[in-house]
Amino acid sequence: MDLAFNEKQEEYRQQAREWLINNIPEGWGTPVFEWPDDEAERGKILRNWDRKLYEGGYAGISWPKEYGGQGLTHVEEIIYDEEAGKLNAPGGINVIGKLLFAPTLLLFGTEEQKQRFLPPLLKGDEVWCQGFSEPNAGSDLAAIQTRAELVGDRWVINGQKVWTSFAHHAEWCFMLARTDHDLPKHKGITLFLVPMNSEGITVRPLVQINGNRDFNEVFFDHVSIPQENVVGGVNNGWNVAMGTLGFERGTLALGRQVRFQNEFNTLVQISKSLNKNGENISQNSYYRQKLAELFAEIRILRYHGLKTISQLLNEGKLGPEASLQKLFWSTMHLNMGKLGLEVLGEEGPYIGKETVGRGVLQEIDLGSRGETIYAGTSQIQKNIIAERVLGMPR
Amino acid sequence: MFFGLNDEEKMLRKSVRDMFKNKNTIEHVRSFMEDQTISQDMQKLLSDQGLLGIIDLDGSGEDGKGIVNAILVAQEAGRHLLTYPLLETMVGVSALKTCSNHSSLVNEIENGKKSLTIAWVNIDAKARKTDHGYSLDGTLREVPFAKDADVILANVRVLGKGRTPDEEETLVVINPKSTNLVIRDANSIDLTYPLYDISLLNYHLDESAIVKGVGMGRGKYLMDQMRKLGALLLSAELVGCAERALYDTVEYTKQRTQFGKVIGSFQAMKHMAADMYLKVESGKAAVEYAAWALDSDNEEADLAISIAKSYTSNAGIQVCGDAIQMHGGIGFTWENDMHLFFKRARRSAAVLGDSYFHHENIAKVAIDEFEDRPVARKNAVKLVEV
Repeated sequence: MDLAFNEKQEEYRQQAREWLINNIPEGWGTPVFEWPDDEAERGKILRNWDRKLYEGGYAGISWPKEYGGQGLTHVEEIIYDEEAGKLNAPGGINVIGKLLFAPTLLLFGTEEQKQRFLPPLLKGDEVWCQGFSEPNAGSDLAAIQTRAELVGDRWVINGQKVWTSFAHHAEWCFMLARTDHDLPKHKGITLFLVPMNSEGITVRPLVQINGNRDFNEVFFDHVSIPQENVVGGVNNGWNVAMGTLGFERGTLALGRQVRFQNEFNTLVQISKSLNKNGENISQNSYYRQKLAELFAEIRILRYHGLKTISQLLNEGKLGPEASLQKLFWSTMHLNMGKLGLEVLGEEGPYIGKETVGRGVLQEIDLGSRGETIYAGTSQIQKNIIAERVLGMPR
Repeated sequence: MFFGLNDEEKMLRKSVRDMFKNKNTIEHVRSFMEDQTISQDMQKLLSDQGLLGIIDLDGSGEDGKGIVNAILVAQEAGRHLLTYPLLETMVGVSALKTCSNHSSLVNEIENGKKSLTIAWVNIDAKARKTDHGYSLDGTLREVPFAKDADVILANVRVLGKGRTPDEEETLVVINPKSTNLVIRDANSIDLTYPLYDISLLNYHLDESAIVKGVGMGRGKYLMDQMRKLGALLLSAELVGCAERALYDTVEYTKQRTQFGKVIGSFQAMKHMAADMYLKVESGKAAVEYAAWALDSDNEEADLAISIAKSYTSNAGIQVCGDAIQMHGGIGFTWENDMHLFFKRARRSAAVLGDSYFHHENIAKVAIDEFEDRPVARKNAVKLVEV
């Protein structure tokens, strides 16, 4: 058990921190920062951040150098992530590409695919979106109906995807389609790489309950792609997708933890600024107990993160433990939202800039409702834990 | 950076687990509940394994302070409902070791010749100076296994030896066989780990029974250290206790049939079990982190211990309570073992700082000592997290 980082790693942390302080856009993360109303303009700002990261050497930190990465380890990756979290640095626009697609391609892609796709992804030239879920295939992902048929020497794709984050900014989509209807449902699926400017693709934005417009429906109408755009072999898509979901559930632990800690600090600050029944909320023992409990859980999330990273470093992969982490942080964040609104009390409904919390706590309350759903609902995570960890019968 | 157990630590855990599995079975536990005397066999076994003096607060041991080893041992003690004051012995010996006057007593305890317990709470025990030492009067509480122990470590106030009552606290070694004290069963709900009250009546204390000097904050400091260490080890016990309740319950759901199916195949059961697993693993992570923090003199060690004790106290009760629920009717009977785990969790959660106490410790750091910074912003970009 040694939870300290070594001198070289601490040096890297210092470096990353300085770079972030010098490069985070002026006013970022404060009310001073003016966001354009236009979604495309918003996308440009985020894409510029991805380009800056690449130029600064903070893109693909743990990826091999031959694909444009920095060739360092997961430790440097999490150190950067932690520092970025502390400063609330932007995540960029290629989150899906960097965190989900790239690790999948590194594991299952051919050499040509890695050479072709990874460098432009890191540079911010090609943004990725993920086409997994469908209207009738959510938790039951293997029930996808979008199909791909080999016509001549090309695959032709028909169907619909949903909850497709960043599809409206993306150049590419990695997506699942059914390639064999006669095989059992997990066996007849293939992972394809599809250019988003292909003829026959329609992207329709969806508005989330917090008013954000990050995700979309994507329609495929006779979209034709070459055969080399298959990853991991025809009818092997389920295996590939399971790898991707492992990354989705397990990575990013420490950066997320630090961001939660920042949110908690905001909650404390708001508690200090509010009175109830003539008593300051931060001095009321009911709220102190609740805040302390939440604080403990945020710290425990960090411990889980450190454990996961140790496992990643030692064994090179994550097991079903990733489900535990996803369940833990999403539930904890949901509780943070609840407590936030409890602290706000009668201030709860008001989200304007002039209000006590500027809507920050309401954003947590609403946003966290999605987090217990995406990347595998809490119920699916519990099934995974019960069946694969505890060995309870299916 | 490595958060996990090394091979030696895993081996230690396995050997202790195997030992308790054979020597502290449920049958042993149930017979102890009828006649709550300290088992000499267990004492010898623990001594032979070198577990009694496993902590060296000055870091002079083979594994430094040995805190990580100690939590692994405590986890196994909780898992097997150990009916021996091992926690008090590990903690008490570590305190006695800091005082060279007591090295022969330390040897006797480590060699299994004498058993030790701790009076965790001093209600009103005071010491008056006499011609040949001190005379003690007053009440001590929360003394596990006192009826049968050879030595009791306790804090008593020596009047005038400090500017505050706290500062007057002095750690002393008490002989429970003396006729000038009365030991009363405090009727704790947890029959696997009996608690006693002690009334001291003109009890003669020799100067040589004082640990690390009289008053002046010394006893207070030592007892604070002991309570923190005790809280951490008790958190580890809670993790072991809850983990056993969970896995025994999961096994039961694979056997028990209703509606023509094993009940473990129902999602209602799976989701309860998954929630329990989450609490067990989270508590384990909190305990391991706090052990590391204490072992390495990390500045957040106290905070980490309060996180561990508050979390495992609530988690332990929740998990062991759910274990009863998942057993159905049989889980509510005396013959089923689940109530033993539940009651052990109840006691462990209540003593050495309940979750309210430790949450308040956390609140001092998280709320009162938190420095104000500019309020975060509404208009920050909101990306869909993945």
